[in-house]
Amino acid sequence: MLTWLTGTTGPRPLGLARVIVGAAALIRSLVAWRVIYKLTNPEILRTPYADWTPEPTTPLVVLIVTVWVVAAILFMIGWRVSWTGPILLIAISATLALDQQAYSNHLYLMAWLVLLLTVADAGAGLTVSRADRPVVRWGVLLLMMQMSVVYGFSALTKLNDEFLSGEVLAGVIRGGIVSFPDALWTPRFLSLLAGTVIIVELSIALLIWRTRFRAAALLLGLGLHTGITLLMASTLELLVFSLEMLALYPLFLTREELVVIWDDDCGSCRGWVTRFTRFDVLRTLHVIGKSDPGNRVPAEDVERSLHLFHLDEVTNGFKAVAGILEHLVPTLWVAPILRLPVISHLGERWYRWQARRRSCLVGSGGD
Amino acid sequence: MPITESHGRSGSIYGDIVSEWRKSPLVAGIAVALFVLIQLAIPISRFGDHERAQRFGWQMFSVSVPDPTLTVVTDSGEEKIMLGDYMARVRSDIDILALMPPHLCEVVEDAAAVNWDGGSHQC
Repeated sequence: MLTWLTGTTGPRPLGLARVIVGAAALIRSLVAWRVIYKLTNPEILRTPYADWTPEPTTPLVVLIVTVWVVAAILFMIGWRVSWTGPILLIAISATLALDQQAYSNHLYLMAWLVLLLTVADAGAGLTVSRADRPVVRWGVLLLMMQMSVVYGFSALTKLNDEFLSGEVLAGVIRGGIVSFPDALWTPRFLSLLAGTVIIVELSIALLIWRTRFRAAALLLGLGLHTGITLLMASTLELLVFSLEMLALYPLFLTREELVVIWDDDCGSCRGWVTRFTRFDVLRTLHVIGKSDPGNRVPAEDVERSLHLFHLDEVTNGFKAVAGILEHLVPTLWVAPILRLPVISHLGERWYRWQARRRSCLVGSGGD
Repeated sequence: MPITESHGRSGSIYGDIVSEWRKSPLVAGIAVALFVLIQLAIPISRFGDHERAQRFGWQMFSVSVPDPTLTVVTDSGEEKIMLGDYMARVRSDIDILALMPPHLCEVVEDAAAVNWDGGSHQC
């Protein structure tokens, strides 16, 4: 087990998580400013954790938020993460420690994520100044466990009569960008929704660890975070929370290479493959043309449809496209939708239609 | 900004590819054990039949605590208080009834008492 933990893995999913968490931190600095600057007003209640907590003065608040913003930008772009990570962590911790009113679960989570990303060496991939270098597995594992802990406890603490009755949801699903449909505003539906939320959170916490169910977990996560961000008030803060959690999903994607076999005589196919490789931020695609000496698939099969080899599984046509999109940025968060039965069926028909009308320019790379 | 492209330079330019301490099985074991311990112990310790949500326990929208309605009695009459005017943030994990009345007595001019449903605080 310890040998596995200290083994190395690709740094790009971790780098991507750092970029997203850094962006979330930058957005969250606006909320932090609003909250802690208000504390400088003597008319505002002070709720310090301890008597020795420093008084929030304007210079102190300006210092904390300035450090926060600069560190978040540098952390996001991956500039000296071993320094900018701890500095960002200090700014977030100082905000949290300043007053009880500055607390929020997503800010507490942000502190953990910045700490774990720094420890895991998240500056090893997707940075402005360095070439990629491998990272050890245990650092990545801690972040993955963090995700399950948050969803898991969030679900378990909702197992109470008040939440299950739908009463809590009735109080919070209002004031968002999208209005909750009046027709569904019934105790019965809200209670059903409350039960669904708990099941969804628990399912994500558990299913995300199994390759077989990962796409389902991603779909559930996408639905959950889209729902809470659009339906509930405090949109900005819920957006930050959603970014934090969605940043961790790519860490669960397999590091096994996706081998794509395509018809390199076909102009429109070339366009698609070019787009795929452009968005292959995690560097998981290995693209092989039909005429490539490495290709072992019969030419007539490749001419009929794109082939994807991944984890001992071979898919082709629309399923292969969906499989590829599940590993590209930013489509990885939404591509599992393409697995849904109706969409998959329509997609397959679309693929066949595309394949029939494609312009095959034998011996030419042009479109 | 080449954020998606590596520069193709060798990792050795920057020293070790993976730092020694990260490769240590002892560090890995301690880090994982400590993380699991902390991440389970804190939320479990916050579990329970509490009146309001508990901090540091990932209790997100798990209970609803309605904001209390406070009024301040002054020489000119009784006035309803907007909590947002006197708090940096109205949070359900803060015991507003315990903290706010004494604060209102301090900051509201001529405040004689703070009332709420089922209670009162004399300034």
